[in-house]
Amino acid sequence: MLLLRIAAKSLINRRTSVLLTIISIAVSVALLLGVEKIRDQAKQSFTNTISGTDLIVGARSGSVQLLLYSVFRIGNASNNITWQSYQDIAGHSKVAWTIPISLGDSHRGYRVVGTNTDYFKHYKYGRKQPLVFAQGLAFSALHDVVLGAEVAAKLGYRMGDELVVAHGTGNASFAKHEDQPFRVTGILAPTGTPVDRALYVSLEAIEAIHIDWQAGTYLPGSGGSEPLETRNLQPQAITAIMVGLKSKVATFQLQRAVNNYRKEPLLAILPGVALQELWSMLNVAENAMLVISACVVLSGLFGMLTVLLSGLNERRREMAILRSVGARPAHIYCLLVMETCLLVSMGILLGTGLLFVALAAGLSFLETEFGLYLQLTWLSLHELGLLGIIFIAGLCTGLIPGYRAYRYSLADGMTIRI
Amino acid sequence: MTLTLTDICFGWPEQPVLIDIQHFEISRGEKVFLYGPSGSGKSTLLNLISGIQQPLSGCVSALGTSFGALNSRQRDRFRADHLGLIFQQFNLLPYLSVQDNVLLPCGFSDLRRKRVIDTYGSEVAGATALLERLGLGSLMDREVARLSIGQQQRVAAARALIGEPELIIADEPTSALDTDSRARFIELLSEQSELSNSSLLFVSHDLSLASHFDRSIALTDLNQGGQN
Ligand SMILES: Nc1ncnc2c1ncn2[C@@H]1O[C@H](COP(=O)(O)OP(=O)(O)O)[C@@H](O)[C@H]1O
Ligand SMILES: [Mg+2]
Repeated sequence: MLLLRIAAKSLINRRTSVLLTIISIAVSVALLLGVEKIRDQAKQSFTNTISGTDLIVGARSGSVQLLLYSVFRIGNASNNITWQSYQDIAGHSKVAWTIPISLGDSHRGYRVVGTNTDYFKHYKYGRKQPLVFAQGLAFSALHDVVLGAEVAAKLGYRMGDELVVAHGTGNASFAKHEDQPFRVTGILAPTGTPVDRALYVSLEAIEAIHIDWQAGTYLPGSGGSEPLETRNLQPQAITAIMVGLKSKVATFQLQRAVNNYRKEPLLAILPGVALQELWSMLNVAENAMLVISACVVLSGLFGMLTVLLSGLNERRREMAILRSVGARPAHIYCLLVMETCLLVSMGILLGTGLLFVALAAGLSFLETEFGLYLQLTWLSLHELGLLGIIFIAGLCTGLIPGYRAYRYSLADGMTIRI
Repeated sequence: MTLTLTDICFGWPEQPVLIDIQHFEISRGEKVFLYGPSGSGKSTLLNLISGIQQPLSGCVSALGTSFGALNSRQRDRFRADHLGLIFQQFNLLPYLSVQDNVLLPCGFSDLRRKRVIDTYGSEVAGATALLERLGLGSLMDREVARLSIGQQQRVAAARALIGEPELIIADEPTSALDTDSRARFIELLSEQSELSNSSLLFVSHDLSLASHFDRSIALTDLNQGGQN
């Protein structure tokens, strides 16, 4: 314990360089933990994007592609599903509910989703949480629109505002459905999922705004002059279907039935499995981040090593004194290793504190800017393990100056030639 | 006999033989002055006597124990228990208080700690008493860096003396002091080593100090090595 006290006092005596070393270790620790935490929570919120849906059905393509356009609204469907197929699936005896989804339009960079009110009733995310209206209600009239939380917040829409939907999905889409503006009747509460980043209208509305469109171009009057009120606005096709089953047991049976559907090529996927598949594709980026932050930690430790080694020569006197009062070279070795351990432990403590302060301060920023919902949770076992690895790496680093000091004290004895 | 050297021979690695001494001894309570020009190997000899370096041949024995029979760990323990050392300058750890510096040997030697506690009741009381006897009673908690060199050397003396080791070795402890404090320091040191019944080996290149001691020897007379 005497050695520990000597080590501590010696460090306090060199507080400037020691403090800088501790801070550099702390920052690297905070960075590593931060990356880990964001990685972990991103994965969690990613897998929480959709829950309670047993199958997603779309035209036959890749399962990741189907997941991407139906749930994340990234990319486009290569093909549609006919209304007839939709009816067949919705009417299947094992099916409890379905949500039709029709994609293809956008509003200032946000996707417009054509669906029906079942979307608000049956779509679940996270731990089977349902969608909640922050304001207003689901659409009821033809030109009603419901906004996701982010759309409302970012674009500054309020209840009753009017907006125009653009044809196509690019941000720079100039072809707008200007003849049929929509009125905001509801705004959803934030979910931290892609639900926040879309606008919701009825399937009939999608049909209605496309009346005068032929093969992707706007030809006014080409759809006839019959008023909207009297037209049949049931769509011919939709993009995807989300399916809830009466019993999970039937999942694979229905999946097989859909995949073997005779009238058109369809694909049914299990959202959980497809999410896993997609996440493993993102693994590369994820691991790259981890490697980078590990390198930062490594450079922090190298910084410490530099400071310790460069200070060693000036401390040969100190070691000679300790030798003269009876310290063994092993004591000197221990003393140096202890110093390193103290430095690293302080760095780890400070770094962890730093992370929590930064998280507490940046929580709402991450939420509003990146839709990243972080929770202030205590360190997980995995994160404690990482800290353990850093500590051990620090300890190993300490062996180097320890050994140097050991050699010095053997060679110098009590006389120092400077 | 407190210390006996017989036929010892030593040279630093890759250097010619520096120390070659046939016989040298210090008896119990004796105060010996060893002088020699700088570079003549005085400090090297003290490294041998304190068991930090091992002679190439010959035998160093102290208090009836031959160092050759001990391993390095036992020699370190022996030094902690039975030797008190003072150097020329910078004897103290700058980040410890005066009191902690004085008590350092007690951290490495149970024997010396036990002696202090047996005599004074506690380590702190022992350190206080010793510092008072050396005229430093008021400086107990002073930062080492704010002491004068003379005061620092007296703190070093207190550290060497604490726990009453059998042999005090001082390596030019006064060469950084002015003439007045030099004499006063030597007086104090020999007085206190007498009190704790320790032998004293005082090394210096300054022959004028010889009068304070029972016996004085020139290293050049004693040593056959390093004459080239
Ligand atoms: N730790 C050491 N390693 C190698 N050589 C040393 C060491 N200490 C002293 N020497 C050499 O031993 C010689 C005598 O030095 P020293 O014993 O310090 O003399 P003195 O104390 O009489 O001035 C010098 O030439 C010096 O270079
Ligand atoms: Mg010398």
